[in-house]
Amino acid sequence: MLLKNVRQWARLQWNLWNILWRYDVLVERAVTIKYWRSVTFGKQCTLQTAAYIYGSRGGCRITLGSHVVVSSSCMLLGEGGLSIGDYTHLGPQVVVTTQYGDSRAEMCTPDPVRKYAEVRIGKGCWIGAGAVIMPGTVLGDRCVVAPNSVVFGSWGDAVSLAGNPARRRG
Amino acid sequence: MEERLKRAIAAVLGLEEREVTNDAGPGNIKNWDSLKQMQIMLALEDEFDVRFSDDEIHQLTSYRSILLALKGRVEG
Repeated sequence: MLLKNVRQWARLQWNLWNILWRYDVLVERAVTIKYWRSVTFGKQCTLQTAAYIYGSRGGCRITLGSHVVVSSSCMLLGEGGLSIGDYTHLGPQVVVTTQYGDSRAEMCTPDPVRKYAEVRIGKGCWIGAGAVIMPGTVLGDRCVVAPNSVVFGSWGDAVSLAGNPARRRG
Repeated sequence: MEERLKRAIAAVLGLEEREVTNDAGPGNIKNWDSLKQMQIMLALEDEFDVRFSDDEIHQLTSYRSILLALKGRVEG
């Protein structure tokens, strides 16, 4: 038991060192990055305290542009592929997920069927605290998402979204 | 309206328009799942400038039921 946890801790530290060695990223405390080889950063990104990035085991890419801010306690689940454009800001506790369960499949198993859909977030977007960006979402450039919104679907540039499900507000 | 509806549904599901038949629904279109259902309803709200209630979003799960609901709104 103990050995398993020590090994996992060491692996996560190794992942972080690899990211810090390769990219111009400011990493605060307790940041977790899994499957780091699938993750790339532009210049001067910030990962605030307790940000969690789950990369892809299946060959998809998680690409963060330059000057992207991932605030405290954000969770990016990138198994289905994820791109975030330059200067986009994710507020605290934002969740971006690219995977979901299949309610028509057997779920009570150690390895349930999961489905994946890529998420693309454009440049200069502002995602409010606590928002959830669901699988398959496409946001254009300069979009604004209100706090605690749940975003589905494809949206163009400079759209303001709010609600659950999030709808256009401007 | 029917053509526009089929086009919008096909776009979300990544299908050809002709693959969205009058009987289309989650039972006969494999990737029409709960996530796609949300995406379809939001796409239709944008396309037809209507608003569906939360219940409708979860209940209008076939081409026919969506068409019926839209006809009531767009033509009524």
